[in-house]
Amino acid sequence: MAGKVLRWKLVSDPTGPQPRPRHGHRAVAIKELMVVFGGGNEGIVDELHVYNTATNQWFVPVLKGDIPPGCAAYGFVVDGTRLLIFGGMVEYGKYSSELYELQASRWEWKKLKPKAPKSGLAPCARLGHSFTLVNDKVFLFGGLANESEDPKNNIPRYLNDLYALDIRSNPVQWEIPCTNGPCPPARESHTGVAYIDKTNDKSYLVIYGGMSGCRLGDLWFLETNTLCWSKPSISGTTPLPRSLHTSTLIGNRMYVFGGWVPVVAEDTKTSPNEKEWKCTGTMACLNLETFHWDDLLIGSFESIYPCARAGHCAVGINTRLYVWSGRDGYRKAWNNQVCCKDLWYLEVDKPPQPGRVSLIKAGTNSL
Amino acid sequence: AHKHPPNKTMTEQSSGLKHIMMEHCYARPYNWKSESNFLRPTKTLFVPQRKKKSVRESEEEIDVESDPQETPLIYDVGKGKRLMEECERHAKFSRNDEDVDDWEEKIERISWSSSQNQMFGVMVNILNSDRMSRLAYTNTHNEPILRRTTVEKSVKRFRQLMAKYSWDIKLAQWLHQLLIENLGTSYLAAYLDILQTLKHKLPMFVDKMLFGPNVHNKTGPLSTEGLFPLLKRPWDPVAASLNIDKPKKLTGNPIIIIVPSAPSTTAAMYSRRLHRWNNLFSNLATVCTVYNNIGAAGHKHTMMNCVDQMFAATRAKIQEIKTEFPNRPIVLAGFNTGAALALQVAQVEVVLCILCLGFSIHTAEGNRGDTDDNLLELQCPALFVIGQCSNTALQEHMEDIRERMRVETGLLVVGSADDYLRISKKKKRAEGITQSIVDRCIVDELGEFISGLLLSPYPPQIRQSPAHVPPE
Repeated sequence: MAGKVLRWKLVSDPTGPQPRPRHGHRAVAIKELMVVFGGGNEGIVDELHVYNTATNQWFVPVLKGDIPPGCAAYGFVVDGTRLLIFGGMVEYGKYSSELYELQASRWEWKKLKPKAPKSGLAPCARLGHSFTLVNDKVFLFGGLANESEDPKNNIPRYLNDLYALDIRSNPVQWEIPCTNGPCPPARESHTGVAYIDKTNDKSYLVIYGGMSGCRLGDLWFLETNTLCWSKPSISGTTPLPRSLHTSTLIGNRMYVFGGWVPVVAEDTKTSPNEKEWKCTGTMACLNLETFHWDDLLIGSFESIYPCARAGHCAVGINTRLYVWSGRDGYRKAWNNQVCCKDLWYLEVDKPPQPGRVSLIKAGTNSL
Repeated sequence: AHKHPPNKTMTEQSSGLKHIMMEHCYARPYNWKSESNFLRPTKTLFVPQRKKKSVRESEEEIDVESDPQETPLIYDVGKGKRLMEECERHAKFSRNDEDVDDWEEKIERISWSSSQNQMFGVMVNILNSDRMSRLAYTNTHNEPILRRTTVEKSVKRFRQLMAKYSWDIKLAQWLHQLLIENLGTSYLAAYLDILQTLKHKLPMFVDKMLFGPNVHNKTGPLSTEGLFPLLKRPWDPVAASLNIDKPKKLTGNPIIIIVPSAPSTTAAMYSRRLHRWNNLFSNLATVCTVYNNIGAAGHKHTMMNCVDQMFAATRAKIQEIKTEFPNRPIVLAGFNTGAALALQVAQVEVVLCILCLGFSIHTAEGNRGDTDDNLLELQCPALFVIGQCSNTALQEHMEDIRERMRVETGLLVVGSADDYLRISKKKKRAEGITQSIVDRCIVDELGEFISGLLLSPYPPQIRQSPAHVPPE
């Protein structure tokens, strides 16, 4: 794997109803499907689109049940065919603390009313939090809350609270896990991934990056059994701190793409203490087995790679990392944010041997 | 596990807030109500925000000592002043004598008719008040724009004077010759300014006026030939600045089709204002005009006939563009009657949106927005632009119609403007603006409306007809 040049591929001609470009949306993968929901640009999106990577086709399922309002920068997890969304921005300056479930086998939404934790209050309304499924528990960490009731008057507060939701229990209930060790500082627009170390049978919630007035590039590991926070030392070339990026686990590697990064001193002529940020289209790869930032060789040949962006979505399907839409940096058309409308994938590893079933399927489909 | 960051200072917080707003800009601003997604909040241009006056405030001391804060000017004042003084320079160059104030008394009014006497009297009044306001504005903060407004007022009065004498060309020629020969330098400058602006508005009339039969000075700066280069280019202090900072191109490569407001009988029938709008629009996107020349036989057609032809010509143009550029969004724009026609065309042709400038609610067959008006059934977004002082559209009526329409609509109200979105003199003076600034601001709003539709993650939506509720 190491040393092999990876190449981005633009999915140029998907069929079906194309979703409109946006940012702040999220995506999860169910087998070969990429499910995209929410986000916004000039209005928060309440549409749900599904992209079938096998047929290169977008489709819009007919939804029923308690259809949630559109939301942006929310939390999205998948467990089999059961999808959960939590929080996010639902209106200008107004954040949500609602939890909804979507059963993808029936495309049926259901509003969940999780019980408050035994000690303390249920999580407050927020956006830009991480919502990560590790084994049977969804971990909610951080985000940004609005202290003010009035959406016009935004009093932002960065959070570093941690909640867990056992999705096997019915009804679901929030827990406030008692963690050990120093916990990560408050942040929003960071990412969380679940990593299960099979060699010593340990599960981790991995928190990376985010924003707390300045961009963060720190990595935090929560061992979900002992609830111990740790900040292991990582070797390799540390990527620039960032927020509004995506982190996707494929195999034992966490692939970090895009987001806002600080403009480094070399390419700015202005005073160094002035805060300047830009979007990036760079990719970083953390090997969770070796705690090493692996160097990726990404082919920039013929400049076919996604432009710098933030607030996009990414999913891993088999060995491919799919990326769709996101905002195009500071670029604006008039007063309106310009969003990218392209869909890309990066084959990060050699695809696994096809199983017998898929071979038969392929054979019969071609008939 | 709740840990709050320590309280930040105000400036730190506001800059942080700015960043949060910028990075999480998913929704439309707070004055969007989710339940009225179809009704964009009304925007206003140059309408002063009403301030809530508390009793306390009115008792506050009025500062009479320190200099009033001057608003920064948006144009190059030095350049503006140079342009403003062009007629003065020309006048000084052509008159060697000292500036005389008693020029009026020197004129011998021998064998003048009563019309000539009256006309001259009014003209003297016009020039006197022009002079007064020039002196009043000398070296003020925003002199070029105030001067521009003064000249326009004098031109308006001059036109009224000419109209009073039924545009009698002989009288006009006589007056022109008299003034050219006798005016003192500063008065001559004012008169040249009037001529220059008038030439732009009524080119044919001014030409005839200048080429009178009894023109004495065939050469020199005040001869017709000498005046010609000066009169050719009326000055506008902001034109240069507006040219530098043009409206940006829209993304998505739309095509704007200008729907005609009236049938044209000759190619020359093309108003200068419309020409200016076309130029402004062409900064946003490709502009297409609808060719609807009905020829010299135009007077034989009935009104309905003409409208039918304009309607058909517009449809034909849309079809033509759709076949030629199948993927480019089409925007219809119309002024006054053209706005009504654009709305009608959009009932049968699929377009991205409609821009209705100077929309009129009143029609020969009653008001728009009645229950059987197909405007309520419109299927594509529309932006209405009306003047605050328009006689044909009241803001309340517009709001009422918008509430009952099925599509997303916007409303832009231009402060103190009339049916043709022309702002009043008082407004120009108070705000220190010109009509070209207003037009430019309107185009900026139009651009934002189109851009918002093009970049929205939703396709334009249509709500259930509030007029025709289907039976349960």
